[in-house]
Amino acid sequence: MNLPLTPPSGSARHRTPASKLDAKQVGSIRQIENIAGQLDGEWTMMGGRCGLQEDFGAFRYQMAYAGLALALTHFHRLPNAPGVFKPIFENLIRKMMHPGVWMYWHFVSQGGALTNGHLWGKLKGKWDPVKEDNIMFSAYLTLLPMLYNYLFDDDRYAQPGALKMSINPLTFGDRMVFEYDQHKLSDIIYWQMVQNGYLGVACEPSCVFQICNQPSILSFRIEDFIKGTSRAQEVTEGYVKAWKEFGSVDAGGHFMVHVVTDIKMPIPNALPWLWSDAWLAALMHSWNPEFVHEHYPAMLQKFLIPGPDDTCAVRLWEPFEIRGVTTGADTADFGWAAVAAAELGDDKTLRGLLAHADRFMNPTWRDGGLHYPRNDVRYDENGIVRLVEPITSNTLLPFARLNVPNGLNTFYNQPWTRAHYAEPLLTEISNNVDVVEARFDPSASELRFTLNARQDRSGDAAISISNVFEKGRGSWKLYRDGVETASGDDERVSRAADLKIERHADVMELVAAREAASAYSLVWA
Amino acid sequence: MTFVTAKFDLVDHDGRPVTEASYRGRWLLVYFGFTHCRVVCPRSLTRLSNVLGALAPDLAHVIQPLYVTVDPKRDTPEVMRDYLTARYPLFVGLTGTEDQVAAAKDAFKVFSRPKPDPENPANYDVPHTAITYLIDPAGAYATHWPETSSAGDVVSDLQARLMITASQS
Repeated sequence: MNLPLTPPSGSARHRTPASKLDAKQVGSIRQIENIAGQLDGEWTMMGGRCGLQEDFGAFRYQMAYAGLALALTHFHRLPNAPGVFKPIFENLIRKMMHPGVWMYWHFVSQGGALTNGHLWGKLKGKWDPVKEDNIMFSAYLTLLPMLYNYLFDDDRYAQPGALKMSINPLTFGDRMVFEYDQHKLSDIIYWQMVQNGYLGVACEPSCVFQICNQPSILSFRIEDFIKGTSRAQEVTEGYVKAWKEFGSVDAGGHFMVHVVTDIKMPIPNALPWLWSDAWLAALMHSWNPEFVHEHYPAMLQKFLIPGPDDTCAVRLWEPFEIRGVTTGADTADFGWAAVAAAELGDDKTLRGLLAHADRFMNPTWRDGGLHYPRNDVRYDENGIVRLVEPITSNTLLPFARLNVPNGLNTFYNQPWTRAHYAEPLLTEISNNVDVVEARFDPSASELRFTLNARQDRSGDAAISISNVFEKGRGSWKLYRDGVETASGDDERVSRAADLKIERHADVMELVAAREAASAYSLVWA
Repeated sequence: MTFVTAKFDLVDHDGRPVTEASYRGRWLLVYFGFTHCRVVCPRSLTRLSNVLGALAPDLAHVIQPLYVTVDPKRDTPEVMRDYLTARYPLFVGLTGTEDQVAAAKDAFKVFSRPKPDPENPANYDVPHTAITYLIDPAGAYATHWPETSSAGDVVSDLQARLMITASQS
């Protein structure tokens, strides 16, 4: 990777004050781990109302934003514990390639709905979900492997054919296989952006949404970290110019939703929808924070509903008629408001929304994961917001709870240097403990990590720590709960009490009895 | 997967029909624009002329700079020849019918869309992709540089690519 050896000039390296994850944050990570770890085709707790993979009930959104939430958590809160996140990412990427996630494209590629009805009957359905348009899927299938490469310094998804989608139906058609890799996907998206004058790539045919191109911008930025390129700068400069023609903000003061490109028609957020504004605000805050802060707070004020005891909620999207039928969809207004509040550092709103969720949305623990069971009732008899969509439970509230103020913005602008990957890292962690702290302090040559026992699992805790036995690193001591329990140097373990430690190449493998919580400190002389 | 096929079937500014095969054996530096462009094209063509001027003569000699119009209605061969010979004499201008230019744009993934010129209602502007493409002597896409690339970066990159090729031949 072409990461800089030193932080970019003029930007002090962001360091979140060392702190341990609280129980709800741990439960949020576990909820994502639980849904991602389900077998292929198993989507328990993830099913939305629509079932057509076209609103926020779509699996792809749940998995993509779960991945982004984990990326921010790793970057800001547990930077030295990649082993917590890497297996979950592998599951998320695996599940993203399941046909149940992307086969909607065959139907959506034909156009003909609310957004592009004038195309109905003119287009043939396509199967390959990433070759053209469909940025609402391809952006995420690119982003997750890019994040994986960057966070874990592992380019397995950059190998030719590493991202393979296939169907082999029994009852129709023929076997179809679509093989890609992260950079090929990025190139596909990039050249479509170039050819569209950087306005963006369409979701459904001829419909270029502002929001759906934000994950691609983020993905380009990550690719720039990996390859030393500057696509994100090129694309964002072009994007700003291109959207000037149509306006990024509509006459009502909301973010323009999309442009129907073949008839050059901008579509405002006329109803308006909070989810659209909040989603864009959160993501665009990564690269265009001044613009977001200039416009979004006024948008939010139109929706906020104050509640008792410093709780707050938001006015929900109103169902409307499609072809004479009143239609509800998973819009996740509440969840996106929480994500935006967390990213923009609006602590009062964030605390109010999370408090509302904990008080009125039935927080439930299942297999160590914290979730809020789906509830299709919008408001109760007292006017209290009760609606919970799966994405709000599985992904957005975890995202809001785990992010830090300006978290995406910092992630975008202050990348890790190569030095990060040479630090001691918890690379493998047995599934019977939660890591609630993992941070290396270079100035003190100290890796601090804390393990909490999972109540629903048994056995000893096993941890692998890489970059320990590197020549020249010197002698070390390991403390558990303040008591020295082991010592050694860059070649061997000389003493270990009450736990088992072995050296395998540069990796320290540690096995210890599982206790409720154990705080470790690995210190070099 | 080839994104930029770099194929074209156009007319040069001396009125001769040309395709990508007409330049086989030379590196092509390809830029799309239009002669009425007030800001972007002059800036880019000046920068690229400086890039070519900064190269060693033996390297510059194997490069053919091409300026392809996105405005064939106004950019006839004569208009392009007059524009380029007066200002950017290293470049050969290419134009054609609307369909020919559209096909070339598609082959290079170039965006352009005419719109009214706010400073001159009787006129029109044509915002366009401001990428510079490098096509290798076999006619295959080699790389490209966005508008944000500095002349120095383009020179360095070009020198590296051309010298590697020269050392291999």
